[in-house]
Amino acid sequence: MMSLRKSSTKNSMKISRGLSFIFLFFALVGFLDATYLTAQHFLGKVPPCLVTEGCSTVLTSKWSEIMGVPVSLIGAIYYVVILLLTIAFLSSGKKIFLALAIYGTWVGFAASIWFVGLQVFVIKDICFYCMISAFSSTLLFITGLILLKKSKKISSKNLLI
Amino acid sequence: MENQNQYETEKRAKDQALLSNERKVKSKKIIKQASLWLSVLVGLGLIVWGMVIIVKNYDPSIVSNAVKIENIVVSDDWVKGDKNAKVIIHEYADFECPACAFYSPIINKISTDYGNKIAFVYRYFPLPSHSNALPTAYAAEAAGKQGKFWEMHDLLFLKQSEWQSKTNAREISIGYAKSLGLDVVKFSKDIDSKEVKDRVGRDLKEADRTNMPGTPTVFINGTQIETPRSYDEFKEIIDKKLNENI
Repeated sequence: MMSLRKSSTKNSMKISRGLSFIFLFFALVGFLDATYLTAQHFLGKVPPCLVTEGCSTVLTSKWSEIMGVPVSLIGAIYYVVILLLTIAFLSSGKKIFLALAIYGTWVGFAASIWFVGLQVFVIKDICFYCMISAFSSTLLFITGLILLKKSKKISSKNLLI
Repeated sequence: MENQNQYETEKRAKDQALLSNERKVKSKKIIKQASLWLSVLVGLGLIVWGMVIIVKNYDPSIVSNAVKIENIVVSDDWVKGDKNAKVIIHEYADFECPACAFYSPIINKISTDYGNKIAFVYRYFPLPSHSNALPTAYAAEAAGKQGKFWEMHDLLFLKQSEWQSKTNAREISIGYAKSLGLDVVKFSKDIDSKEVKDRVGRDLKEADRTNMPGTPTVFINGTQIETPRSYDEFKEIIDKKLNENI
């Protein structure tokens, strides 16, 4: 019985590790996107807009900076932190790193809601790259919730044993 | 006594071996960790470096599958600068398009700074997705009939947010005509005239025929370029064209 429980806990751990890699992937997508926009910002350019047509309007609006710091740079730092925390978890196995990353995605998700709201209701234009970032931070948030559920299950099982 | 000594020496040796083994494992772990984090750092650095290179090397004047139009200025085109200039810029735009409004002051500054060295041609490309694109295009054309095309053009872009989502753009444009000192009766007649509608329709047909991707679509000497998003970027492209074949 105990070995069965142990093996199911092991399986859950495997799933958690698997999900962490998915987490890592979304963080990487977000990082690539935000870095691209930050590079554009500091080199004084606006990227060619794909699919949508509001990149220049959004990326040059007054909401594209917070006290002189481009939002894309803040985004890039956010994704790097999530990335590093996830790698720290995967290499050390210490759950605290994963927990920090998961709770960190709540901040990213809230920021995404704010920025999508700004684009839709205030600027009334959609920037393709900003939407990629919104998607990756939403997917990070969802994967984080699943991971959280899984890790709670594991810890309750551990208590049983 | 001798046995005891031998036992202790053996034990010490065993402990030492265990300790060194432990140390080996520990240092292996440290090396593993250090190399992991080093590769992560290098990876992140490479990404940042790669992005900078991509952005730096991006040439806005090159568009894959660029649309081509005839590099001419028609007699009733709206032109700033010299029609026979070496560099002719055509812009196909829509008064309701936010990117065009953003772009308008840049173009104005370019035309002012380059004067007769270039020709800037405005052409209508009212997008079907914009409900006020046609009435405002008619308003600009009708204002042009009284010699104030560019004044109406600037005003429409400047006040885009005022009429963008309204259902009475036609009436609002009549108000603008009044503020520009136009003959309002003539203006009101002109915006509904077949002549004005045909003139706007002509540009629209050309945009559709050549499959223009959206607004604004900018051409330099008949070849589409990726819309320059800043004054400096635009200047760079024009200077390059002006200096060609000298």
